[in-house]
Amino acid sequence: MHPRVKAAAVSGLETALTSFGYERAELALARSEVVDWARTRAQATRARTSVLGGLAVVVTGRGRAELRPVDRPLAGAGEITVEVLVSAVSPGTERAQWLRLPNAQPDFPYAPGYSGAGRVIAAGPGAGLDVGRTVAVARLPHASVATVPASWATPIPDDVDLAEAALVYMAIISGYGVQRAELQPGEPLGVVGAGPIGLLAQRLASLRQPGEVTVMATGRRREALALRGGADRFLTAQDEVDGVGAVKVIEATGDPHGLATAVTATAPGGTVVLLGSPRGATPSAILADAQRKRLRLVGAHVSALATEAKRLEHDPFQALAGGFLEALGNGALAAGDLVGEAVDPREAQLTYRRLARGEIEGAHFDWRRVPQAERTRPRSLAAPPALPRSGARLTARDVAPPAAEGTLRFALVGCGDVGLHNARALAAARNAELVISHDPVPALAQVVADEVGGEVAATLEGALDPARVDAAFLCVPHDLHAPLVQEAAAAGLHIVVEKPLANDLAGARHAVDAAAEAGVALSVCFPYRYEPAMQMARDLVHGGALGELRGATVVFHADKPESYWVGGFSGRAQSGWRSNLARSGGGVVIMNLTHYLDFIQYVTGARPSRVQAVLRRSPGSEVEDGVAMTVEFEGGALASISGSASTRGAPASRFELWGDDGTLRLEPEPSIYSERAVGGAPAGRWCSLPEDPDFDARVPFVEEFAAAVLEGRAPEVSAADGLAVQEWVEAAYRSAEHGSAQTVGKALPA
Amino acid sequence: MSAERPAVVVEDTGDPAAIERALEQVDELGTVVLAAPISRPEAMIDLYADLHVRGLTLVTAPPDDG
Repeated sequence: MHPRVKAAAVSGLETALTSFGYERAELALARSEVVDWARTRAQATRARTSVLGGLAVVVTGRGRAELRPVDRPLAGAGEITVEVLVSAVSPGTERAQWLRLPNAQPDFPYAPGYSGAGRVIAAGPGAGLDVGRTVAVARLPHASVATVPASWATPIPDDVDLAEAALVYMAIISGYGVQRAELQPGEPLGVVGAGPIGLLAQRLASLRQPGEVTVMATGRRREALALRGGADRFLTAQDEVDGVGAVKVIEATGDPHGLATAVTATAPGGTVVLLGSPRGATPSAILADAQRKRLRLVGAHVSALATEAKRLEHDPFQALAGGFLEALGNGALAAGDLVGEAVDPREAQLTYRRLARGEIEGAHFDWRRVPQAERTRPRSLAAPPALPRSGARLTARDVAPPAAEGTLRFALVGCGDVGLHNARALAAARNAELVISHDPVPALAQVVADEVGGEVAATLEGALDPARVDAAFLCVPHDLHAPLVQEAAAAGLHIVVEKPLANDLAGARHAVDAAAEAGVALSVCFPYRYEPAMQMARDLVHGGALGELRGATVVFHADKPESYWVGGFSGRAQSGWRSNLARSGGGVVIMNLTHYLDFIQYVTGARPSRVQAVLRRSPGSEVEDGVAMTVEFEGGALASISGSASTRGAPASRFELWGDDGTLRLEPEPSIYSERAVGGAPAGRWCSLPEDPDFDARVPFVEEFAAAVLEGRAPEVSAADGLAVQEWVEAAYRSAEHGSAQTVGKALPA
Repeated sequence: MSAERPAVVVEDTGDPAAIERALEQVDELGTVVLAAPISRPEAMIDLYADLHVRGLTLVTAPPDDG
């Protein structure tokens, strides 16, 4: 294409993509993918073949890598199409690119990787390789499918492990370094660097029967690998290397210190092969040292092998690849200990991050971990490009019907605002029935009975009748929770208490003890857990989406009108208990934040160890309407939790949890970002979680409690869960009172 | 072999910048002979772009031989 036409086409493409909302990194990625899409179709059309869809690792920006859909042309003349099964990660080059080290800064987006192994699934005329053959492929990017010149592939001997064969290009690189050393049998050899390239060079060199072999590295972590590979000795930076006296030394680090070590370790008149790519400039002083020893420095980048290939009648790449695979096949060479950890390609970003942090020294992508249907997909020439998605979305799972047969009969005690909500949930639950309602204000109970059904009991004793009901749902002011739990337990009824468990920790413990002594189930109404997004979030977190928990943020906002404090949101039940500290136990912490405190513990299993909180009360109010709290968890995670009941305009609340490998945002707009391939969420990309504003989470909460009782097991929201939240709340209030951090759960003897 | 670039270049100044130029000018897989002592050992020199990538050989003659 004429450069001017090409420039106009690219400019037009950018304008079109920008109009679709792409910008910055996403624009570059979309542009790259459209160009790749067009190129693939042009190649397929020229070769009169079709296209195949697959996946490829793409580094889209600093610290960002993800698996992207790609199309590849099917093999034309002299080509093969390979279903990639394993691709080797080069810990040198790919780590350097990830860290943007000198001489390793490709433009974004780029496709990393250059070595792998797989199965031939299509072969063009003259390819000379049969479909079904397993081959090692040099210059192969990290992708599930690739079409390459057949000359890049070498058949893998039987019984050779695919992960070892996938090191083929690294073996070519290393083998070229050995070749450039012109090592003669019996010559002492030094290798500086004990990464895969250095150790492969050492092992390939050992096939030439050198004299004493010395491997030099910065530390001893790889010593066993070097010795296992045939090294006679292993030296570190702390050792004297000037006595090594190797006639040939292969420098495989690319680091100026490594070159200095190589020069020192080489005997006068010897040869240093520069195999590792220098990351930055080299002090001339090292050359001066080399000069004093009359050394020869030989460059051995694989690009130079390509230059040699043009001058030779045979293919030196094939010769080196064939030699490597043959040595693996006949047992002369072993590389199983150099392949590193097998990782899921969907976790490429995490893999590179771990590599950069030094948590792993090597890795290979095992494409077999990705579902086959995603790895190789039929695609038509007319199929549009799969542009970067503006946002992936997981769909809600169906709420499973209760397993156990039967119905749990409930008495509802307290028929104010939340009582009415819970009555509706009882009516909607498939395994629960509201039989009796009771409220000191009979008209409130009558409203419930009229809307939901059941009878009205004039007295508490009449409501808690074990002959007529199995369970009690307590929706009363906080100070009545513990006493009524004791009454219901004494009647032999199972109990659900609206959160919190009690107005203080002592009451909560009495309630738990009463239920335990009576042998009845006790649960606290935390329906937030049962929102579709929360259920999905729980599954993802339990699947490892966050990794180790590191932090949490809650910013709760409400704008409660003055009338709330005398009659709740609806005004149906006039009472001032909410603003009475003795009755309610507190304000926004115990009334609102308890949902978040429960969810953090529920979804992560993390337990708070220390809390520091400050409270804000409005003039004339007994309970707080503002709190700022810092929390330290067992295990070291930290949380910042704040809440306000008087934020004018009630902006959206925020709730986020994050760990080593991902971040979960629950409010606003539930979504997750994880570097782990968990639960169908795309790794390395934000993914929305299902939301349903009309969903009543109290219904599945009731169903789960009823099912637990009917099945004779403990409810999912246990009394211990309620108590754990109460201990957290109590520690926050204690901290505010004393002005210091407080240990959670230590206020009262257990 | 390239017609434009010699297979061997003898660098006779010892200056690191001149050494870099010598490395640039020699042919792929060619040889540069350092015939003079390095004059500024504190200077930095790029060994990646040419010596490493283009597969050159740097032959060093000791200072007293220069």
